[in-house]
Amino acid sequence: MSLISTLYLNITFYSAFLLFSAAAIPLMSAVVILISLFVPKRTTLRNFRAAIVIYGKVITRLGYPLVRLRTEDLSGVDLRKGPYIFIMNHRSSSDPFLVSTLPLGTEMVQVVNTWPFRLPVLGFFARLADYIDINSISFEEFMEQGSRLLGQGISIVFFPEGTRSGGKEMGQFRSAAFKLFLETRATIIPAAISGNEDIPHKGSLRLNPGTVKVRYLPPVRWEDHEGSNAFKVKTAVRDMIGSQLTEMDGQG
Amino acid sequence: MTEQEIIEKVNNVFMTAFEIDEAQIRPEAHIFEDLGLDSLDIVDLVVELQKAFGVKIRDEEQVREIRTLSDIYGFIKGVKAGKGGS
Repeated sequence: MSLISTLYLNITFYSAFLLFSAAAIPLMSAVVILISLFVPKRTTLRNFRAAIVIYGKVITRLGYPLVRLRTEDLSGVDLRKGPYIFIMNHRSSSDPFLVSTLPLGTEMVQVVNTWPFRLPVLGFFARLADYIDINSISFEEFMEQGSRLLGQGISIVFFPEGTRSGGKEMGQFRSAAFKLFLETRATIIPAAISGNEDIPHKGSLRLNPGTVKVRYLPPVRWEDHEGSNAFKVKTAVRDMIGSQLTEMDGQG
Repeated sequence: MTEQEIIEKVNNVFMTAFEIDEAQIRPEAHIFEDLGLDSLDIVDLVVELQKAFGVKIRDEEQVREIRTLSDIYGFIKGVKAGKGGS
């Protein structure tokens, strides 16, 4: 039964993924390009980023009912009214898609390694949307780019482990996001993602049935860390996410 | 300054400025893999070490080679002796 479910899930998901992508990407691009003729560039970019979130929202639901997605917002703030620095743990290649669990109207870009930029089509759109390839720029360029985006009211999503953990353990956090936090004083929203460590497992494309949970946590504000350093902030945020993951993983 | 004083002072930097548990502070502890620092944290670490020891650390090449707490003890010893700092 389990093997049949997995087979069914993978056939239906990847078929739907390809069909939807083939239809939606050109269509959404055409709509955004058409609208761009009549609106400022800034609005076009906002529309374009919204289109990416809508695309993600559909993709993350294609596995239903064998892959269920539960989102909990414990932040107590309106996540659309950033800019925020979202800090998420990273278990699987599905994580960048799970960012679409943010409410529609949250304008954001993701900080990623070089490999997503190499993906056909999706990499091209990531570049257009101003996603940050942290491996190809200097720290100074990153700070400049990050500050500019936050200054424009655009939230930034980080996976500070830098690479997928592939399991339930969490890797060490890198400090760049937290340097940006101390410099810009933008509020951090930590988020814990659990249940997707096998959807798909690191190094594989095979999806396994399960329930993915995304939980947005209360804000971490600069005022509470004034005079601190990036290491202390990242340790505090990592501990926050870690304790949530322990609870979420235990729920089954 | 004795070697033991240097060790205590470096350990104190890690416990106060980075809030690292005393139990994790061992000479062989890898500052990246075991203690969770990264290259950006090294900038803060250098600032804290300069404050703690009242020295200027200039030898970036030598700083880049630091991997363990033991390396830091040796590095500071060298700086105090006039190598890699002032």
